[in-house]
Amino acid sequence: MILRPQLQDIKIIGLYAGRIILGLGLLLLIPLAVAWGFAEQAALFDFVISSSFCLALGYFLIIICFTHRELNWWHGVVVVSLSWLLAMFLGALPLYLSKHWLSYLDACFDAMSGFSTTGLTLVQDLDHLSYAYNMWRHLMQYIGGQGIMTVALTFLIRGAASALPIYVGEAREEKILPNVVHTARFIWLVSLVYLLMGTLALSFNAYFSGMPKLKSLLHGLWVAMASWSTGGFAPQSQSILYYHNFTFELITITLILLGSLNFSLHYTLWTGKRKEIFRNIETKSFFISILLLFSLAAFGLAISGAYPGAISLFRKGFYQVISAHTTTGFMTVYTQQFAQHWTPLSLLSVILCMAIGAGACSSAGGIKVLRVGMIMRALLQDIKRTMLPRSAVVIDKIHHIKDVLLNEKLIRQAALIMLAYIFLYFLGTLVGVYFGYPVHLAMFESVSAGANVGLSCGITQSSMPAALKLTYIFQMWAGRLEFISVFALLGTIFALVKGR
Amino acid sequence: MIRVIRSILGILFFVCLSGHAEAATTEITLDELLKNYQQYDGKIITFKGEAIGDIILRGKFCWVNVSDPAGGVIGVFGPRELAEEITCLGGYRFSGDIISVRGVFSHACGEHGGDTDIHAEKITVLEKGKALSHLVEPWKIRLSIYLPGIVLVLALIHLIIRRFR
Repeated sequence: MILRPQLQDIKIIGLYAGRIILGLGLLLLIPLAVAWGFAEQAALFDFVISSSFCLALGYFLIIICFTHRELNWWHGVVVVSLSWLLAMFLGALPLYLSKHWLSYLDACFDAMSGFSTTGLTLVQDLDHLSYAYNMWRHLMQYIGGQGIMTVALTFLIRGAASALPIYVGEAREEKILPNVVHTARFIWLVSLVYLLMGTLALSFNAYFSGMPKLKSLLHGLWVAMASWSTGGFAPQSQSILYYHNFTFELITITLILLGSLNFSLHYTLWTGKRKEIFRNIETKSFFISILLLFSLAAFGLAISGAYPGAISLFRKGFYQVISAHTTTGFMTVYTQQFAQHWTPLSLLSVILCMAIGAGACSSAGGIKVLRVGMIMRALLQDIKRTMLPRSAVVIDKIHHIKDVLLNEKLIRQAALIMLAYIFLYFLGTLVGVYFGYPVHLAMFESVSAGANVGLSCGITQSSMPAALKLTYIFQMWAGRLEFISVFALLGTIFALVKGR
Repeated sequence: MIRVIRSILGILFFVCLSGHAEAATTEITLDELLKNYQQYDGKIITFKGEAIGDIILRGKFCWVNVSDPAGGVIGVFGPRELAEEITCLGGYRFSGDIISVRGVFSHACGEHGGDTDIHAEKITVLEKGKALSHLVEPWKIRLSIYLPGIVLVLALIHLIIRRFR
């Protein structure tokens, strides 16, 4: 028997959702200040409206849903998935008001793409977009990368009892510090330090290339935000190609690699245990995967002769592979070139990079190298078992921060999530093929959306069918939250309708 | 006879010097260039569009990013002097100068790490850029007054309720 949620349950979910919306309203004050500072009058009004609407809705929910009850596990995961949807609907408001997005659905698509750090975009005439909107686009990625709920845990929600389900619900399995709120604060500390370093490096680079001071600072900040969050939005329509600068590319590669590492690993490195990077199964799997898949992509590009000389091939191939594997989505080639100039072998390697993704408990998406590493180890273990006598007992350990016994439960969990991702990728491919796109391109775009990457082979356009946009939105949302919270919300909706 | 030989030699000299065949004199979009890159690669083309963003400096050379009417943007590389005529670059406040670029198209330029670019031989400003107006609709102004008022009222109610709870 399915129990229908009680009024008290709905109130507590409403209260926390109200607090998140209130936070979103406050966050919108940042682009509002940018609009005011740069005298962007039209943008200023759009952000006043959007921010005020969020603040009003947030206060309204807090007032009518007030309760002293604490969140339980189920409430927590529902709050997470619901808040991400609300953030999409409300974050899309200023985008839609700007008229650079052709419909509210397009604006929602970009808002979800921003918060989930995907980077696919339906914006029109990006090269004439104001600073304020660009600030909002990149801020969405930066906040989404660390996690909307991580922000809430740091600033808006008090009490450790409520914190754990919220933290876990946002696809963060690992507690870095014993206290979840302290963990959230550590995530913020690391993120801010790297953001500062990245901004300085990129801004100086842009400034010495002739960009005006303030503009170079803004471009540096935005690209650093998108890089660290493995987001992929860029202030210009050519993405990183706009800068025509090898050093700029190198800095972004460094930042996206750092952003794609597990926060637990960052903590271990920060506390002086530098050898961890060479021992950790996650970094080892990541390195092997990059090496293998880049070799595959490079081989494909070499036989097609797409690039003249090894340097060009390396620069283009390696950047795209790293961008795909870290699930960032920055591009130094045009979207059409993936479809027209890259061989199926190179495309396949990029698709695999995107599907695997990067570090768990990082801002990256995809299945995650930790899970793939564990499954591969389990596979090797099984092969080893078949070669040994039946009576032999094989015990395997993996090293991830500490030595962990690779048991059935761990492998099953990893395999289940992997299976869910494969189903998600398949779903998008199926819808893409239904709308007439070639299967390999439909798969490329679907994996890009589901793994929160943002590389595009040209399907993502404002003119694509609305059903495909909705599918990609669902993929970005479910992929970012790693399913559990999404299932919890769908279950709650079902219980509201069918429960007793 | 001498004139004819001179003319032939002159044409041969010009062809050898330029080293690139003329592919098209009419304006082409980026999409067209990428679709038929084998036809245009290494050939002289004329690309027309809006100069956007910034002029990116590289010693005595520079990059100008040019956006065609369909929205495709390509990097144009050339000596700084060629870009001196460009005074307005497209952004939020301005639509940039409309320029015509004559140069060699590279689908994957060996000199620039495989970038798709045009090495300019001549840049002509066809139309000067102009300021863009961003008008605010009256309903947005009205809403910007009412909504913050509602927020203030709700915040006050919230404060009062919190005090009594």
